[in-house]
This record gives sequence, structure tokens and C-alpha cells, in this order.
Amino acid sequence: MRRRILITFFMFLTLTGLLAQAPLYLSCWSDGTANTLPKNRIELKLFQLSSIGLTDKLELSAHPLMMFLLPQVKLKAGWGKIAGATIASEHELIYPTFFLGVVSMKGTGGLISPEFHYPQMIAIYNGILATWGVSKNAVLTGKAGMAFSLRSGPINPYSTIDLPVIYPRLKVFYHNPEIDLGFDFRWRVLSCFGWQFSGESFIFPGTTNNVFFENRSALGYYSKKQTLHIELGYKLCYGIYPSGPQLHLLPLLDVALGIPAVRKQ
Amino acid sequence: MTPRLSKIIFRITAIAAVLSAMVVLFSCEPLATGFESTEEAIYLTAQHPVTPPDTFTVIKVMTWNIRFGAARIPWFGDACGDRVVLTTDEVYSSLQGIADKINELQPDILLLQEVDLNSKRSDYINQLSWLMDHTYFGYAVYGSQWKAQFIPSDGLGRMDEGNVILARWKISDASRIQLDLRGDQDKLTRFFYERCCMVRAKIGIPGTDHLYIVNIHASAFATDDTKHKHILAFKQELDRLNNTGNWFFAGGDLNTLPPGSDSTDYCEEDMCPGESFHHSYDDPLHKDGSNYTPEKDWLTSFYNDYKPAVTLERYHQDQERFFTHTTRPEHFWDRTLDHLFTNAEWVENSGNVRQEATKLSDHAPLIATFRLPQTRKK
Repeated sequence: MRRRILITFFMFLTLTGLLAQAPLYLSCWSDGTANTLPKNRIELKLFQLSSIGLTDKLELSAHPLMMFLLPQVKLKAGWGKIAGATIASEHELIYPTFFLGVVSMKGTGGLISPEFHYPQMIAIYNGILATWGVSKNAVLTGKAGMAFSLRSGPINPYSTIDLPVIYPRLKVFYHNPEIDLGFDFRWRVLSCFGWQFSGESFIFPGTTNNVFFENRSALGYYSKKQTLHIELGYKLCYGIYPSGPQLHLLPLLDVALGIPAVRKQ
Repeated sequence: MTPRLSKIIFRITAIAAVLSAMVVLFSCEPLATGFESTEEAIYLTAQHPVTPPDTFTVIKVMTWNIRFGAARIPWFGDACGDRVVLTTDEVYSSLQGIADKINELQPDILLLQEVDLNSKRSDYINQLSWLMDHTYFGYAVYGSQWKAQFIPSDGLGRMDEGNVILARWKISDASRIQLDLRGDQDKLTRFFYERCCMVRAKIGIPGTDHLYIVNIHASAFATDDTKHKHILAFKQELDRLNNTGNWFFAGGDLNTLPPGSDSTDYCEEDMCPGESFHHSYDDPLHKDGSNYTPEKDWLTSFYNDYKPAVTLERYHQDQERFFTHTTRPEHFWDRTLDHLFTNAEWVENSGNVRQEATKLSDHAPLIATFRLPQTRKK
């Protein structure tokens, strides 16, 4: 029973983390844009990856709890301004084998049939972000990237989790490569409130069910000292799943704590 | 960015946001589907319906639980197996066998149970459409009894399974009638679990008016009085049709034995490795869905009030000949769970279980010849 509760808790973290993704744009909150955290600033997020500024141009992200179940590490490197746009690159590594093994079980919580076994697998993602200032209080980010996976053996094609958000993100382990294209628009409407609207597509060339699209919109509150961020919104997912085309509407909630960098005088 | 470009971006974003909001408003699909007590069944018509004969006095009627195309694969839920998700080849191979058997037996009206339309376990194959494309039936109605976007248990995932009536003739007034939900499950399990139902429809056979069909799949594993409620609701529906001047034939997988069956406890036959029953220390004492002893008389009123396709007299003479089910993949049929009744007439001794179909499902088809009533029921 205790194991099931723990698994359920971690699954909740995983799923909500996938839904939550990025907070609204502020000078310090960097996610979703080409901005990087200032050196030593830490952002602890309830559901999504937490981040730390290693230098002013290098940011490392991982989930402190989910690290043990679904290891995922992301490095964002800022490349400065080119032709008026802030440019950054993202490099991510995901190891899902352990997580998939855990949710492949009998009874409640079994997202995958226990008849399936997974090889050792990793996915590597590399992408580029470009952020433009649209106005004084709004930014637009364009995003493009590519992911591919490596496996130690074959994977059963029926072992997929056919759920929105999860299915497109795990599809790369079944079909290489994955191409991501997206945009992100953030607007600080009032000093403490903002609005975010984004779209992201996952494309798998050479497969039949090859396009997934996610639209996300959220209203966010952020404290003046940039120590607290709360956002509430929705995520709309469309894709051609093994069962056919589907549209899903999902709620979105996330809370993030910002720990400012302590600069030596 | 230039102010003009900024304006364009703001406008495009605003339009996209409005469009998204509109999609959001129309995109809500429940995680698990609930049903009204009675609602319209889903109608399907074959792309190229075969013209039925127009002069006849009898028709062949068949009921068959096709086990979602799983044939005799040891599925985890009903056969002590470890399989959950079937492959495309397995499902198509099984459906081909089922279609071949249907085409061989040529029933005019077919009652099917456990037909998957869009389920992960059967590779999302629309089994009803496939069967219509590979048999001669022109018309069908479907009532879902297990529908969920995603069942987070045992890797079941998406599920849409139900009862079907297939016919050569047009079907009208088709309803899905909800049966009681199981009372022996916790709320979460019940939310995602199957919702047993009956499908009732009127059949438009030339020269015969007021002929109804009722197809039921009663609960298999309920440990409380749910199954009894299902059978009582089925009887009540047949009585209502009978008392309102209609002819009917009705049946399906009632998941209970005819009265006077020699064997009523199948716990040992159905026992999986590692299980134990019938000892004072066993909890539960009986395997869920395998002990029919308390149900000995549940069908008596059907046999008393209506005409069964297989009379009790014939059944008692040779019970094994009319067995329709077994849970054991490698075993021959060992009990009778499938039934057909009418308030009109069956051609004498026409009721027969096609027991040779051992490899196509865990149920054998029951077929009988129905004499079409030439007059309006009084």
C-alpha cells in the first residue's frame, strides 16, 4: 500500500510537471525564453524542473525528487544577442527506463501492462531559443530542436502510454528522430500579473501518426521580489494517437519559489 | 522590433487565444463515460448492405460473446493469464475466425457481447465495423458498457466495449438501458469499471410488426446482489414488452446457469495458480464469479414465462451438449451461461450450441431458429 501511495505521488509529480512547464516571463524567471538565470539564483518548482544559474550564461535544471524515478537534466547556455534577439541553446538528457518499469504493473496505478519490459534507454535533446522584445512588457520566443533516443534493445510497439502530453514525449523512444518547433509569448499585463500563450509541435518524420500540437495559456502572479510565482491556466493538446486523432483539455497549475543570488560585494 | 510588427504579433496572439478558448469550450470529454438510465444506442449501417430475402417464415438468431477478439489467449482478467494488450495480428486473426463462423452459420440476427470499438487492449480496432465489412449484415446498433479515455490499471488504457445487435433488416427504436453498477467496489474502481447494459431494438422484418430484440451482458464478477439485479431488470424489460403487445426474442451472456444444472460451483475449475478456495481459512471462500450455487433459481421465471431456445428438458437430458463457456484456454466448454428466450415460437429443437468453435472465444455461439409471428400479439 505504501509503495502504491509513493508511486502515485511520484506519478502525480511527473504528470503535473509535464503539464506545468514554464512560469511567466520576468527578468529573472527564465523558463520558456532564451534568458538564463543569473549566477547562483535558484528556482525551486513544485512540479517542473528546478533550476540554478551556474554562471550568468549557464543554467542547470533537474527535479530534486523526480530525479530518482525519472532522471532528467537540462542545460541552457546563453549565447548573447544576435540581430536583436537573445539566443540560447538547450541540451537535455532523459532516462525513462526506471520510471516505465515502475508504472508497468498489475492493479491500480498500472499505466502500462506488466507484460512489457523496457531496455535501457536515453533521449538526447538539443534545441535553440531566440527571444525578441515585442514591447516594453512583452517578449516573443521562437524555439526549434531535435531529439533522438538510444536503446540497448528492442522496445515493444504496444507498450506506449497513450495519454496526452506523455505520449508525444515518449514517442522518440519508439521513433527517431523528433523535431520540435514552438513559440512562446509572454506579456506582463500588470506589475504583478502576466499572461502567457504558447504553442509547441512535436513532429516525427517517417511515421504515420507524426504530428502533435500543444497550446498552453496561463495567467500568472509573481511577487515583486521575484521569490514567488504562481500560475493557473490550461493546456490544449491535439495529436494523432494510436486510437486516432484526439483533443484534450487539461488544467494547469504551478508554483515556483525563487531564491535570489547572493552577490559578493 | 518595430511598433507595427509588435502590433501584428499582439493581434495574432489575441486571435489565436480566442480560437483556443473556443476549442477549449468544446473539447471536454469525460475521463470515464457515465450513461443515462436509458439513452439512444449507436446506429451503424454497412457500406454495401446485402439485400435480405423477402419471403420467409423463419429466421436464424444467434448470441455470442466474442471476448473482444481475444480468442483463447490467456488474458489477465478472465483466464489466469498475463496478457493485457493484444497485437494487431492476434485481433485480426481472431476476428477473421469469428467472421468465418458467422458466414458459415448465417444467422439473420446476431447478438454480440464484448465487442471492442476503440480499446487499447485490442489495438484500437473497430471490431464492429470490421465484422460488418466481412459479413453480410447491413445494420447494427451498439450500446457501450465500458467506456473510459484511460483506465490507470493493469495497462488497460483506453476502453470502449459493448453489446451489439446485427441484423439483415433495418433497426429502429434502439436504446441502451443501463443496469445497476456493482455495489462491491470502491468508488475509484467503480468509476473506471464497466457499466453493464442491455440493448433493446425494434427490427423491421417485412410482414412482422412489433418485434423487439434485447441483448444483455450481465455482471460476471459481482460478489453482491448486482448480477441478480441485472437479471431481474432483464426479466422486467421482457415482461414490459410482452405486456404491451410486442413480440420479442432476447438473450445474451447472462452469466448464470439454467435451473437444475448438475454442477454449480466452478471455483476449482477457474482457480489460478497460487489461489485457494473452499477451505475454512480461505478469504474469499469462493472465487469471484465462479460460484453459481446461490443463483440456482434466478432463471426459473424465464423458463416458466417464456420459451427458451434450449428447453430445460433438452438441457437436463444432456447438459454438456449445451455448455457455452469455459475460463480455461485449453479446456472444452464446462458450463452454460448464454441463453435465448422468446414470447413467440422457436422451431422445435432448433436451439443448438456450436461447440466446435473452441478457438474463437471463451464462449460458444448459441443459435436457434425463430418462427416469425404472423399476427399482432394480443
